[in-house]
Amino acid sequence: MRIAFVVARVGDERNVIQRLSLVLAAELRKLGDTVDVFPFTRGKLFSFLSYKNLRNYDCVLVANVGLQCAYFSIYKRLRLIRKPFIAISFGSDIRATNNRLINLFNRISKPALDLLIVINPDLVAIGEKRGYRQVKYVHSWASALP
Amino acid sequence: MKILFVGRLVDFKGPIIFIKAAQFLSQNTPENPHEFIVAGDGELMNECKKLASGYSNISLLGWVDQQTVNDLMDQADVFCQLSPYENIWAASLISAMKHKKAVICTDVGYTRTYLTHNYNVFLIPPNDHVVLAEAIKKLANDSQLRHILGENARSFVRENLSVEKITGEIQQLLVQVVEQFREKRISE
Repeated sequence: MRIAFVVARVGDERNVIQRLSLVLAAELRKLGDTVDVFPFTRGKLFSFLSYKNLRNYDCVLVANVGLQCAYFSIYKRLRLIRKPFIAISFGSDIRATNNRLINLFNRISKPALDLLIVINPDLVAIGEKRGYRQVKYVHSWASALP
Repeated sequence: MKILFVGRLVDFKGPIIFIKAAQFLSQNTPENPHEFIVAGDGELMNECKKLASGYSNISLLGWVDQQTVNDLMDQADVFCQLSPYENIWAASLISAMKHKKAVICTDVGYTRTYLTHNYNVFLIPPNDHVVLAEAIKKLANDSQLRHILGENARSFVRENLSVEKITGEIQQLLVQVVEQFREKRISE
């Protein structure tokens, strides 16, 4: 399977999410998948054609329902990308229900996401309450962090 | 004894309770103080600094890199995971279990669903620094219990939290979604 994996803050050592995402990408490759990581920065917001690269994959995987997820979700909602979208939530992106920015990113992303994978069991109820169509829980693979 | 807390210094992680328990134990057993180490940064740093001032056995390290966290884990005798809301699956908790540490963990959210009191963790109620201090004291005096908790914690991680197993589950989910998506497009 060819997977486009959108990850923000790649290289930021303080950010556990990007470290877990890179571990996952490496493990999926071991299972035979082609995984290309698309580092997302705020500068990408103005690369209006960057979505075209995502068309060559079987699915788009996004680490966290943050700005990066909302951004590419807009392209899917405009039908410029016709691929399944899967987001992995690490908690901070959906848990705070009184954070306006988080709520905005969730509102934009939700209709575009075919599946929300969560790595904390309490996030299943939170994701469903937010109205996600499909929410699945898997254990965290943080044990693989070096 | 080295007692370790690793995590963001925010309400969600419970660092204040850790420092209050450190204060409590230091005041009550001044002749043999434990060493309390806090690794992490966040909005509660100033409050933590205020509470820790005057206690030479409480160290606030601020943010540290993963290698330092690993070194701290190796040296620690007891690790504390103290969220008043949810501990499953904090990366620091998994790291401590992987390092065979005796973990004191608050009994909140899904913690009890996955972890067992006196078997692979020592569970305590949240937001109670006196109970935490008692738990630290108990583990400090019982090296056998610390050893058992550490061994069982590591076994749990090996059996349930292996990256290969979890990646396989994620891959299956991705395949299912891609197939569903294709079928839906064909039928449209």
